[in-house]
Amino acid sequence: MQSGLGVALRRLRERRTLSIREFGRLSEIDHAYIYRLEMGEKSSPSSELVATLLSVLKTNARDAAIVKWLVHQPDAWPELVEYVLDDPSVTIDEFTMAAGVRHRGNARPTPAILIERVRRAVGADATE
Amino acid sequence: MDEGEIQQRARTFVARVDTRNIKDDLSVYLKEANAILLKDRMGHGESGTTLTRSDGKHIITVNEVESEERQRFTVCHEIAHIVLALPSSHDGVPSWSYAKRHPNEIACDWFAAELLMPYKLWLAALPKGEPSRAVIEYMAGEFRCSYPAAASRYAGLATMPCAFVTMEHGTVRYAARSMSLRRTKAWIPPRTPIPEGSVAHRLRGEGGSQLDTAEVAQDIWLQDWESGLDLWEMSRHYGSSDTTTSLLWFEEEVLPEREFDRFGRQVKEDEGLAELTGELPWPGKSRRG
Repeated sequence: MQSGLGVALRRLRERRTLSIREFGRLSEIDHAYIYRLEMGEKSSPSSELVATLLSVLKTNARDAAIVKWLVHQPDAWPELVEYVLDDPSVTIDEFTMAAGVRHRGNARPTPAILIERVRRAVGADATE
Repeated sequence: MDEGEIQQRARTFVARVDTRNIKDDLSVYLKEANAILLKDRMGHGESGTTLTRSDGKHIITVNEVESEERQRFTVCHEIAHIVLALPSSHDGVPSWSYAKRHPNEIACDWFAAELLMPYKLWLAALPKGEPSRAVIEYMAGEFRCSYPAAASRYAGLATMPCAFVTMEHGTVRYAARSMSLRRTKAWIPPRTPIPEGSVAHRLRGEGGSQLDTAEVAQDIWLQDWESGLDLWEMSRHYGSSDTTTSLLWFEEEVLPEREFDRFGRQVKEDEGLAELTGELPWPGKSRRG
């Protein structure tokens, strides 16, 4: 089963056009372990290991913050993670707010609509 | 968290606010939950969402396209997510599978019913006598909720043995039972076809949208149950959504007596003592006189 963390690591690795083996070699971490992280078969990596991976991926501050947040949120919605990583206008606060959404009904909004709702909620008047 | 614990937490929450005006205005609940309400045109099948800002304020958005009654239930359901601190599943929930719904969603529905129809107000407003379409519709109007929500609440708070069964596309999704029915361990299994012989089965077979009440055998509805006893079934079928509901009730005296040991196993009745014949069992016939 996919995890938000796994999806983020894969997306950021592909952005650097690295294979899993190259990623493993550069970070000096077993590539099989990285593969399992990406596939959601492993979770909760140590903060040191995450820092090593991020240094190889050369992520910006926002993407690094997303990855670090995902380490502690195994149930984060993978499609939302992919969408946010591809849209640099989404802030880390907007992302974490969207990731914590609770729904009612038998349909779910797309990540784009969810982010739009987050932005409206941020601006909602507290006296409403 | 079991149903009893959720009920207790909901009643504690309700006790903190003035509920006199909740029929018209749920803002007392919103304020207590540190939430504000927005209305939006959402997609088909979406009822509402809750987002939490970094300042701790919760923003509940409900689908303004849905009925007023459903919007009110959604507000209470979303407050439940906040108060119980329960996340929701991001997986799409197929409409045919209440029984497979995430336990958090079911828990929030229990909580929402307590907010929308507080038990003290409910019992004060409830007309005396047996259930009927008029009674359920009256209670739904009193609390501005849907007919199924009122019927489910009726079963949950009834003193008589009573159950409310929700069915979709010919399959039982969920059954709310009164305390007296739960005590007898009467069980209506979810994810099973609507039982043949029930009013619900007949109405669905006939199609359209209609309501009917009739007496049916208890063992049609209740699993592992004695035969030969009847119950009342008031069923309603909604043709457009292929949804059926049934309110089942029966008097205490027509319930079979069932005894359970401390492990919840049914104690089977033995044959009891042999009928007296007037003849002493001892000494044996061969040794008499």
